[in-house]
Amino acid sequence: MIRPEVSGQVNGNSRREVQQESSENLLLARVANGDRNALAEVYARFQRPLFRYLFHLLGQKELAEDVLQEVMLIIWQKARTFQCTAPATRWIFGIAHHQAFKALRRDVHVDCVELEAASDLADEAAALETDLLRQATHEEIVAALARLTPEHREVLELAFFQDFAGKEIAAIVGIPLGTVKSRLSYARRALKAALMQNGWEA
Amino acid sequence: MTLHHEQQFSRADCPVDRLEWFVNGTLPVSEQAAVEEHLSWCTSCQAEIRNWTALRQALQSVSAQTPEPRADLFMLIEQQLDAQPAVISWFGLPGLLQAGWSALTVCGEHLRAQARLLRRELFWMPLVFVPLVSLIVYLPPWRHSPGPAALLAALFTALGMAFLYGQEVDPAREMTLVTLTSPRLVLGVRCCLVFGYDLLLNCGLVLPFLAVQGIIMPAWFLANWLAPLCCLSAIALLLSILTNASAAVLICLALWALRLFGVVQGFLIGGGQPLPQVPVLQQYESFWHQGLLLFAVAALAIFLAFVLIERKERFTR
Repeated sequence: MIRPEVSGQVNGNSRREVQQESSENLLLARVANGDRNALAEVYARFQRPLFRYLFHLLGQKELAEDVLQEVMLIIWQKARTFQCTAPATRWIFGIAHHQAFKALRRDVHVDCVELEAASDLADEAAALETDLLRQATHEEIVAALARLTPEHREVLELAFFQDFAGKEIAAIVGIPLGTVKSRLSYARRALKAALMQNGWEA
Repeated sequence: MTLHHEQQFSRADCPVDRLEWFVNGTLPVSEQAAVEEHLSWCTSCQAEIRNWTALRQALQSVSAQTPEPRADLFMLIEQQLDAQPAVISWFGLPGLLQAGWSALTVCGEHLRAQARLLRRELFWMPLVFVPLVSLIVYLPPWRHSPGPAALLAALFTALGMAFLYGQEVDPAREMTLVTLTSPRLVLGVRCCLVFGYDLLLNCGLVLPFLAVQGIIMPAWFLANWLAPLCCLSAIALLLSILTNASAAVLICLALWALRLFGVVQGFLIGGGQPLPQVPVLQQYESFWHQGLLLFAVAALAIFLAFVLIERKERFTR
């Protein structure tokens, strides 16, 4: 029987996650009261996941750094408005999503894999997908990711860089859960298409 | 779609839409157990899981190799926080003064920047023409009647506005387009500069000069000099943005020629005696004397110009 490596962690992790969540919520409450040390702690905890998300979404290091700065400033200004009922991580990533797409609309232009191209891909390739992904080098995957639309890249990142649940992704991106699911499966196909196209071009 | 859909004996109870969440470990415990049970015998779901797992592993390896953000990033954030004025200090007089001063500085910078980029002619031409035009009231045919002078002053100002912003008249436009500065802001600043300058010349130089002589009254000046001037200038600006500067100039000249049509015709044919007026032309002429309506038309044209410029420039970008 197949058991992905991660699935074993879930049950053991869940209690720790709840604890972590509440401590993050407390941290934001301190930020709301104007505590700079709390903000530093938020930065220390979130800079890595946020920067990974922003860097791969935006594709430029400087831009990702700028947006990360903007996100931290907004956290500082808006911490008061944070509803403690929602997880802090979701709220922070929601801000990052908003700022990142603002930046994307502002100054990032890329050629994306056309969805038609992705759907043209014959389904018989599905069986080869695992091999394709396992054989692809790190650079090839990065290049293929860069050719997805930001929306597709984003759901892949949120689902598999950060391991967010579907419901959380829906809340962060501001779309229905059904759309998250369909977007993720489109993104998977588009990534496959991009990998195959890169292979052919090489 | 996925491997499942290829299966001829597709099973409706396969948890296809939960496999990715099973792989990233975010399924609730109860669903997790159900999926695990299902996976123990369903080969197509096993293959699907293999694909999602391969995808997750590939992405995790990409994620792991993300570069670090610059080390002093948090320091920069703190600097920005320090630079932000505290909310409380905005209340009270010193805060207000400070806010007003910083707003003035920003405005000043924008005005200075645009003043450097604008064509020089837009400044020196009105300085010569507007006072010159106002001297017409001393010429024998129009002695003490300020109508023609008002007509010409409006036309010159409008022609200036036609050259305010546009593809072929502004070398700095390209530069503006590649920066983050909004075209609306650029247009607004330029309007303030050039139109404000023209207004100052008209109101500050011509009005006192002619009012002291008793030739015109401020109320007349407002309705018959300033209102057509604003209206025609706004139309010129809108047209120059919609099409180009030369079209704007031509249409403004045509609009004004139409106003002069009756007068010129009477002058040529009737030897100075006014001819019976055509009703349409009469109505047209009376339109240009309705101060309030003209200001409203001007406001509408300016509004349209500001709406359209953003669209047009976005298209160009």
